[in-house]
Amino acid sequence: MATTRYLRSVLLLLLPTLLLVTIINFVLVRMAPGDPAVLIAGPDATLAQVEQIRESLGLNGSIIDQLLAYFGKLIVGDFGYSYTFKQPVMDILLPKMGNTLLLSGIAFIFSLVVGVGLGILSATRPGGIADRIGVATSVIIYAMPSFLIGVLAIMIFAVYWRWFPTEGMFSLGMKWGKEGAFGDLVRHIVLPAATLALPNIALFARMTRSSMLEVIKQDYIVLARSKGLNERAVYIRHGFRNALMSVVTLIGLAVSNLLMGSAIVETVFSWPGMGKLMYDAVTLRDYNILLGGFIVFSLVQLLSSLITDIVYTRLDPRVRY
Amino acid sequence: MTKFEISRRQLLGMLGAATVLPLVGSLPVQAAIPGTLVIATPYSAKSLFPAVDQSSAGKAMFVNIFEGLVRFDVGYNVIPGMAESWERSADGLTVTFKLAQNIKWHDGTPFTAADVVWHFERIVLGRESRAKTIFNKAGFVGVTAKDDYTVEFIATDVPWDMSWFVTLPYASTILPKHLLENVSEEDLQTHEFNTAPIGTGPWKVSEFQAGELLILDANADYYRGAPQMDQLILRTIAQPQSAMLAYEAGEVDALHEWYANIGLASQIERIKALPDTEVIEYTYYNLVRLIFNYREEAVAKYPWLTDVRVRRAFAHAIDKDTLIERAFGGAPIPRADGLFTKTNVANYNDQVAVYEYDVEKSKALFEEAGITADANGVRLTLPMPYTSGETPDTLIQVLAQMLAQVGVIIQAEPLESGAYSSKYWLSPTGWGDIPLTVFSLTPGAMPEGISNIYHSDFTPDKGGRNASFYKNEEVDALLDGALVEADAEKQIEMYKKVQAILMDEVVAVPLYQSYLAQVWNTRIGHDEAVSRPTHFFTPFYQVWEK
Repeated sequence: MATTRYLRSVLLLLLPTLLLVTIINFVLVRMAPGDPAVLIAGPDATLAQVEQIRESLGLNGSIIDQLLAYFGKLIVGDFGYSYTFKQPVMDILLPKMGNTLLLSGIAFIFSLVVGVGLGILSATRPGGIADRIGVATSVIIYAMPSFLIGVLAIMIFAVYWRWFPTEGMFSLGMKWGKEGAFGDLVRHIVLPAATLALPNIALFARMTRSSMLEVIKQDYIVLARSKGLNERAVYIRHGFRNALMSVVTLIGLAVSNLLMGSAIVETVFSWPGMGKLMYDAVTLRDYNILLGGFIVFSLVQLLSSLITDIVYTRLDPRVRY
Repeated sequence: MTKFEISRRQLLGMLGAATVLPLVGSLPVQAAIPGTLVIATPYSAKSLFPAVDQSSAGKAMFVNIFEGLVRFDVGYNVIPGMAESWERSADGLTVTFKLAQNIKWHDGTPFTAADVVWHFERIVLGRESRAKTIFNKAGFVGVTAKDDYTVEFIATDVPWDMSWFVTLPYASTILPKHLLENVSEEDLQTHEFNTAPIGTGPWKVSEFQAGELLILDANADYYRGAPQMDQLILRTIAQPQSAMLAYEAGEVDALHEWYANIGLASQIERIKALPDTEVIEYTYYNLVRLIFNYREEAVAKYPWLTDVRVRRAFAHAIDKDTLIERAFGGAPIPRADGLFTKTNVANYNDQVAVYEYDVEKSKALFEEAGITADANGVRLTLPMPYTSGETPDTLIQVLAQMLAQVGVIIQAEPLESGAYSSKYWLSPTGWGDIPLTVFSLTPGAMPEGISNIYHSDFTPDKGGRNASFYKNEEVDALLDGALVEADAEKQIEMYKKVQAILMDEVVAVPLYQSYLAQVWNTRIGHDEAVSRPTHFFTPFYQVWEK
């Protein structure tokens, strides 16, 4: 069991870690070549206009001054203003984060259930036909770029067969709260979620399979069988639980991808999410959006590592902090 | 272990399904939403506020929301907009506009002369811009409201050119005085007008999701008559592939400015073959060119930049047809031979000097200019930054190969788009100290576009696009003269002369223009102005369901 002392020390470390992450990112984005004032001022701006915009962006002070100014606002929960979107940063980040979480969350759950399930199935009959097909297809799918999977999915399921819409999160004119919104969302989420899930299914299946195969060779499995337990109990109750450790590691890593989303899949499906937003923010050098995104991302990353650590202790009593 | 077996029946079933599938796929292209025109556009507008955002993306969207005093017809003639009529004094120095009296802002407030006066004083002339430079050249004295519906513009030096009220920055999108008069210049950037603007145009903003979607409702009180459709939705789809698929599935009714550059040549034929589809192909008003830099810093490092023989040598070294073919894999990209785009406007000069592909001539010119080849045949080794977002990598590679044939070694430096834009393209220091680059510029359909790129007054630090800092007094004089020339024929001659000089001097080497298409579902009728490709975005006003 994770001791409360461990938990307390981790939580205490959270704040300084976030601080350090913010400072590093703050400096890093400003080191990238490119001048946000010039980009925001646009093609018809005079030198004077560019300078004026640089002044309002607060880029004229020293980096320390800028950092302090940023923290000054951050403490009261003000993430600043996005000069490319002409709105406060959180007004843009939060909805997009929600959209990405939704998409990635569904994709993740789907890939977990299907991937792990397929992995277990493969492991029960290693070398069997299901296993061989599974291994081959998972390699192929994992190697395919998500752009290709996405466009193929749209062409086959949305254009050819009209089962699903080709893009977006809602039909035009539809939004949360309107009648039929849920069904509309479900129809829109299927293809992008499947596209996102496919490589992960392959990954989870392979990982689970090899983990299981290793575990099956262990002595306690022989004991379980000799006790007379049926195959299902052997595999699930004993085999799978022990194989879970490596799978949980993978899950912990996959969670961090959830929030950032996949810029590629979001672009192909025009899903209004974080991936695409961060990519645009980089191109437009929108420091405030970038920092806002990094801070939230780091926070989630830290928390998920913590949760993974806790889960380890539940799964394996030998792990103690 | 079971063996993998399929019975004959199962096999036949699978084959049967496989043959049926293709038939299911060819459903007709359906209507998106009745009463609504859904258009997919590649433009991602972050703001709808003309005073703050003058990017193409912004313009593509807010042209539906705002209006000007006058506008262009399909022949680029100035016709009435919110001004029903106007009178020029005999010397052309005074213009009096009579405004239509039934115009209302989208919030119901009446539109009056006070709005026009405020807009020109505060927005058009209240900041440094090309508009201010040109108004100053005219000797602008003032704009006054003679009564609620009469506005007078007075100049002292140069007669008014009516097209200025359409083409100059901010001039064609009049903003509401009653909502913005107390907003400071800085506060404009953060004002809610960015996402919820009020204009006098045919469409009102219903919902705006920055960068994604703009839903517009018909303005029932529009002074020229409410639009015939209830709603206009502009959906941003960045990828041309995704846009085409959305159209095919019937989710959008039209594709606005569908790009077919790299790798999409085959898709053009596919779109044309779709049922109920009208495709309008056109050449965009941009010019991709090999640009020479004339800034002092660049000339100091590369003195040959000022030698016309060397620039001509470059021109002769490039086989444009092969370049286009190899870079774009068969897409119908039009080749460019002049430094002004061919439009319906009469001042295009198609008799300018053309430099045919001739490797020997190129080498001879280099020799003549004293740029000799060393033992390895290398004459020059030059850095060439570019951005692969704008200019395809294959184009640069093919170009580098062609120039290598005459002994010019190009060290291509691909830069990420933000870096390239802020260091070069949008920078007040223009191209800095590099000798060459490849980039697309849009001189546009109107002569003032050419001034913006080649007149020495319009360098980037002054809000212009002359990033090469090119200075030719004869060209300057011709452009200034043409600006004030009252005789239309003489004016045309002057612009043609400018184009001739530019190509004589090979100020830059024109390469190609972009190919664009508009794709319309045939259930939507539209007038020519709507679908006519123009450098100045046209509102989707005259559209209807057949």
